[in-house]
Amino acid sequence: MAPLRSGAHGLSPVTLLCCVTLAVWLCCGAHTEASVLNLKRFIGCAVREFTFLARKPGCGGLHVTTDACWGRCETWEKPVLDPPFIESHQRVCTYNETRLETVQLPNCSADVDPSYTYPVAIRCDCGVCLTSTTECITSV
Amino acid sequence: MRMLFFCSLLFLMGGDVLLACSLKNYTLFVERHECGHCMAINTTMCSGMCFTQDTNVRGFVGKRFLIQRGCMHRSVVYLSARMPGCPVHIDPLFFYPVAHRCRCTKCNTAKNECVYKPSHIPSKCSDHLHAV
Repeated sequence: MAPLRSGAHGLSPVTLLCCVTLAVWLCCGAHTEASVLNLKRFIGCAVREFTFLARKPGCGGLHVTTDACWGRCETWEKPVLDPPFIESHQRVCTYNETRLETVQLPNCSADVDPSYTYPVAIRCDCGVCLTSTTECITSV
Repeated sequence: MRMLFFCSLLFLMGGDVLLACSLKNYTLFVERHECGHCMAINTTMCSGMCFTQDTNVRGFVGKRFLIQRGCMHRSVVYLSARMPGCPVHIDPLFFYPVAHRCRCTKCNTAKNECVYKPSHIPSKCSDHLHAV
């Protein structure tokens, strides 16, 4: 975004409109729930719909649609002089705020509780993946 | 007109090109107080945006859906430099890494320190040292 700000002086109205549109697209797109943007073009970290098959032993499966976090986050590796010689800044698009929702799974055995609880994303942010709440490819 | 073209290009390309994971120039400040000098070394680093997704669900569902990648180097070479003004008992030679080619990839904990933050990295040369 910095190049837009620094280049905003002395622009023609058409250029300015184009840049403002781009800025709105980049900034507000990050919070748009039903984003129509192609993921390949999307830059922010946002809440997006996600469907999965909820199942547990003794019950039938149920397709559940919930909200998950998707998007791009800034990451970098900087050279440093001492081992391991690289400073690493790894951030992923992950949950900042969630609420839990419960559904009843079908065809459960008499001795099995049909309740199935899953998280729904309310807000997503770029952050460190916490192994305590989510699956992380890189352990922290 | 050129600006308009540039803006349109950014709009069309979006996340893949704008702020993509790539090599960036980086200045590393190396201080040796024993030698009374500080060197500004021009090297390269990897930085940029990488696509990730997270369900916040643990277990099978969470693993299947999960994409976590960081902007990392494909290879790194180590170059050497010599700090001037060092006394005889201090080795003036030091090595610094230079990143070659970058990509968004999973951090392999078997080969890399995936989360490492050094305690102090100078962002400029200290005033009392001679800058080289």
